[in-house]
Amino acid sequence: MPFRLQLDPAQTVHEFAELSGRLVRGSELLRSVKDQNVEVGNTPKKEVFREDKTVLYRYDAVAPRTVPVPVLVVYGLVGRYTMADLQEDRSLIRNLLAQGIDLYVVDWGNPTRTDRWLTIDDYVDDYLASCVEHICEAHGLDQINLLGICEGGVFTVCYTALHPERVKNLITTITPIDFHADQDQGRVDHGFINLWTRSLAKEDVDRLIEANGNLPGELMSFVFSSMTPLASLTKYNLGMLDVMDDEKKLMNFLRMEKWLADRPHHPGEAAKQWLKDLYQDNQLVKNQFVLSGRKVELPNITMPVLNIYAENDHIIPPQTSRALGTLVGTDDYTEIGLPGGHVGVFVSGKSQGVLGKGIVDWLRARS
Amino acid sequence: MINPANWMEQTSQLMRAWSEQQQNFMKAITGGVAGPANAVPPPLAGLESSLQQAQDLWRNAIEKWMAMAPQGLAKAGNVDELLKVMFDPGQWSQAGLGPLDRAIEHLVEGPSYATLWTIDKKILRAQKLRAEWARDLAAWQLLMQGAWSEALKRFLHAVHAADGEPIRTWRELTDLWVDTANEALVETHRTPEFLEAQRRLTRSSTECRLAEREIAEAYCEIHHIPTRTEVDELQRTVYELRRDLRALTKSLKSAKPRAPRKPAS
Repeated sequence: MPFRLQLDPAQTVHEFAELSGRLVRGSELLRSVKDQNVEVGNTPKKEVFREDKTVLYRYDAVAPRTVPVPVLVVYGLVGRYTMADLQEDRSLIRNLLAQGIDLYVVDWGNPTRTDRWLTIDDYVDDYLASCVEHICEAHGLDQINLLGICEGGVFTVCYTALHPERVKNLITTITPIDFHADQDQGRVDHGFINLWTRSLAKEDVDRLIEANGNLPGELMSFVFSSMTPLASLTKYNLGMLDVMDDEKKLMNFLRMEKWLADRPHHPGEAAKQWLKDLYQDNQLVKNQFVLSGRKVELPNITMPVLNIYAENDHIIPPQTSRALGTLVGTDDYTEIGLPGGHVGVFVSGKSQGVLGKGIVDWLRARS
Repeated sequence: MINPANWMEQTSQLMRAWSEQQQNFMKAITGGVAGPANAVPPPLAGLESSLQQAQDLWRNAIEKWMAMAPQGLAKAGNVDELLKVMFDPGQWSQAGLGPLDRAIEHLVEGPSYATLWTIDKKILRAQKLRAEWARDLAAWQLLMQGAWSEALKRFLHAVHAADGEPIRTWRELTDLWVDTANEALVETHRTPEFLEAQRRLTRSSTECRLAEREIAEAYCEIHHIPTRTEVDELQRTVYELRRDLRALTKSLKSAKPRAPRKPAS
């Protein structure tokens, strides 16, 4: 006889009735929701520069400037920048704007097979460099502030190491630097991408890109899902059941789903560099990663650096981010560890105030 | 207090309501939320069949739980066997996996021209690779099945644990199952055997896809249609020209005298 099972008929009926009522209310709510109601990344902004598929936007100001030098937000190619602006009350972008930051964001667009040959060299030393030049020219400045997120954090680190004269302050968030440091943590639920990538032979990566022309967004979604298999399996049942009769929570859930579904393909040649040079060979920490014929040397990063990581980040384990502190050439290095996971740092209610305020306070002290 | 005489009728009414609500629920999320096609796919589009599969699984589990309740555990017979049916690894390893499997399907699916060029060596090679892919898929599935079986074993152990909190509701039981199964699956995903099986599956599906591309390209060449390889080469040329053009534009721009800039203070 199972020891812990204690069935109570009355409670079972009550539970079932409550569940049924929730489904009725949830179904009514869902029926009233249309795709266009589930908006992400809708903070007002204007296109100010375009080069091929890369578009630079400037957000509309909502408060008097408190930091004179603009901040350029750089996301990676694995997801979309809208994670930083998921919804009105959970938006790093809105938080920074409200505190008087002059904010730009770079959108890499939706790469297709035609973008197969683009490399990280192109993204860092060409498109990102052009965006920085545009902002410098528009403001008559020599330097701007960079804020990189995840793979975009790696792009900003590389750009800063190659062009330190153009960066006043560098902010990295949930950014992998030492791609092998996941092994130091010994957590079974952290760092699966690192492990999975190391399990591949280099030729496996090459053939995968040859067959698909890119690193398919669907494949990365699958790998992400493998990290939390049951949560992925039950999110439209248990997960959704928990929120479906509460309009606010349901909309939060749908916005997150919309962002997750919007996973672009990663351009093929850039994916080879990302998986082989960085994840497998860990070239960044060895100062061996080469872009445009030049080594990316982290000691060249001598300006102030703020590095923000998520304490329970299962995708970019904290140790892989925190490695930056020992590798850069600056004496002004600050770390902020925030509670929560990889995406939670940007979208959870708890971290909203802390993240934005942490960045703005740090910038103000260095303006 | 529940009147046992009305129990079956109440249950029957609730189950009817449940079925209707499930249908409404499915209609709402597949018809209401999914919007017009655009560059960004609607979040819930295409999930109907996997959702339905998973919903059926939940309903099956809840029905069994409900059936146990009125007669009490003492009369429910072999409860372990009932729990095995509720959380059958054979079903759980399949249900709702559509979104997870889609990536592999995407890699595996490719043009199939097996009815063309039946004597071509390319076909034979593709068939051989397809057989290898099937073998690798079977090996991968075997490991996954093992993980689900291990999950069930641990779950039954947890249900029997003398030091655990009492489980009074279907939701508490399901949460225990989800946590236990998640742990077992994550552990499996990290084993060298699973990583190697996944690597081999990814590689064999990739090789299969490339071999089928060769067949398609042979067909294209005969009919004067550009092949994927030729288009890739063309795109590479366009990419290189664009890159050179950007570099040239920038060097021309930097050669021009520019207005003095102020240092970022």
